[in-house]
Amino acid sequence: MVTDDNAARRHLGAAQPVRDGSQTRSETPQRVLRASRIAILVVAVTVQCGLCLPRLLANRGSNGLWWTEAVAFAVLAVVAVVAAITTARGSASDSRGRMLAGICLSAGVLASTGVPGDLLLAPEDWSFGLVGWYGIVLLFDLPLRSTGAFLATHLVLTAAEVVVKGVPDSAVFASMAIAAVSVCGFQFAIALIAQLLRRTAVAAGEAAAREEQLRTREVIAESVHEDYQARYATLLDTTVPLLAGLADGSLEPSDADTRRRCAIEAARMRRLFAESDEVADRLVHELRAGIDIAERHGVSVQLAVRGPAREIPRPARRELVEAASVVLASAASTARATVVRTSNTVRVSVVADAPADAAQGLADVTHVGISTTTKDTKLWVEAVWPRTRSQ
Amino acid sequence: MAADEITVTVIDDHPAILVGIEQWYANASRPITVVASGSTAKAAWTPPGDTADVVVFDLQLSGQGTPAYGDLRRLVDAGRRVIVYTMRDDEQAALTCLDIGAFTFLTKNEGADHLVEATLAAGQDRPYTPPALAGAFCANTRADRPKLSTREEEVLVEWFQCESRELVAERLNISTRTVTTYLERVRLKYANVGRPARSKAALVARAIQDGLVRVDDL
Repeated sequence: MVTDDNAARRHLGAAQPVRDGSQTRSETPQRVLRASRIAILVVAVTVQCGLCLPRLLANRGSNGLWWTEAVAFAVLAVVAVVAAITTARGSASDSRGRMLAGICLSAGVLASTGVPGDLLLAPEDWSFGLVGWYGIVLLFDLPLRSTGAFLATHLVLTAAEVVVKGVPDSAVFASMAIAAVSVCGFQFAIALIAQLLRRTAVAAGEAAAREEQLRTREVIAESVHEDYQARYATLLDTTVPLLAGLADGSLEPSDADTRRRCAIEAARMRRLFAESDEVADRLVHELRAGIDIAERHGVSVQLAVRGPAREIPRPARRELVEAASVVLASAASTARATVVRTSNTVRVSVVADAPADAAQGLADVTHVGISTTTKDTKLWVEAVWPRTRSQ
Repeated sequence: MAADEITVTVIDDHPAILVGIEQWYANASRPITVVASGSTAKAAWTPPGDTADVVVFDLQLSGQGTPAYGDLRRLVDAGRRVIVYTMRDDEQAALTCLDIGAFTFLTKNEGADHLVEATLAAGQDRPYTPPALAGAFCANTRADRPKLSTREEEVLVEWFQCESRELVAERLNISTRTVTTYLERVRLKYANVGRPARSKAALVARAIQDGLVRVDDL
């Protein structure tokens, strides 16, 4: 089975760089999302420094509670710094985002406390638009409904403030409503676009991963094919001279040595064919090789398999097959081989008319449990994987 | 016709099988007579085959691409005791036949002993679990699988593997009689699940009468 090992190593070697490639590819959508988050943050910071800061300074002296505005501005600046750091590090978390969004809402309320009722939502109320921008950045990773709920809460709080400070006349109220709808509507649209971008990015990432998987499978299949080619080539070195010898009469079919060579070649070829057509059930195919050899020695073998094929580590599979092969090889005339596979265990058993000492060599196993029973002329060996403690 | 004679109808499309079965029955401990035979289920519906105690039924008849589950179901629904005797050696076929209500499921490479024993058991409504069927029980992952004890599972798997009660008894350090009891009890648990059938009810009724199981056990 040296060639098998080589093949496996080659598969691994071939598949590795492809797999690395898939990792970098799946990062691309993440980069796109991060860039859009940074873009929205830049908008928010620009709004705060370019529009809100001059307004804050202008409000100084005109509003009675100017310090509340200054504190709110500082709080929002701190939020901006935290958001920038977490975005840069890629360490933004949902819970922290929600907490900071809550702080933003409070800062908005605080900033507008000193603003007179009829100036709410007017340029003097600088915090109204700014809070929404930070909200979109902070709730970027959460579902759209979170950003929706955030903006709705912001609107409700502002509306409550308007009511508490006295509803202004209809013309002012109308301009307030227009400001609220246009600012929040625009911000919600941005959040919606971010969401669509996320969905597209996820779909693109999945498609890229699928493509890479396909590519990996292709590489493996190609490598397996090459391996079979190599094995066929080595087969030719021994089979062709044998066939040629039989054809030109230099080898005598009645000769015991010729017959033995033929049996060996046939067994090798059969195993090769079996492995190429159905790789999934390796256990049964490897077992069949042992059965074939026993049959060539005139032993009648019955094979019964129950349960679907499942993955078994190579060393364990080798020990299971080895246990069966040893008994099959020493059978005198009949043998029954069985495979029982359940979700917990795989059992391979052979009952044969074989000498009791045939199973002695099986003591040296590490992955499977072996039980041997003899009665009259019957030898029964059962190998169970995985091995239990009592074995 | 002797009082304890068991009559059989054989449905199989290979004449050699029929001759072989008759030969095996001739050496049975109780008289078993093949009263009718045919290559389709019709033989079991028309005299003299319609009154036979047991129907030995080949699931895969020539000219039919698929297993004859429909014929099996009709025979079971008419209250016949059907032994499925087939070349098919897969657990799904075995489990499906049992669910339909077949008395037991035997593969053709299980040979003379099991067919004779199964026929004798069927004639008396007693459970019989041949090794191929035990193997199917072991690998059963269907949702309606009956709950078996660890010991029952062990006996099933060992019986499937070695086909010898003596070897199972030796391996598990129990008597051959106990091995048989475990196999019968498992078969009864299967009679108690899935599609209701008269054959299943008869098995359970007889087992309770014989004291093999109590009503609470099932």
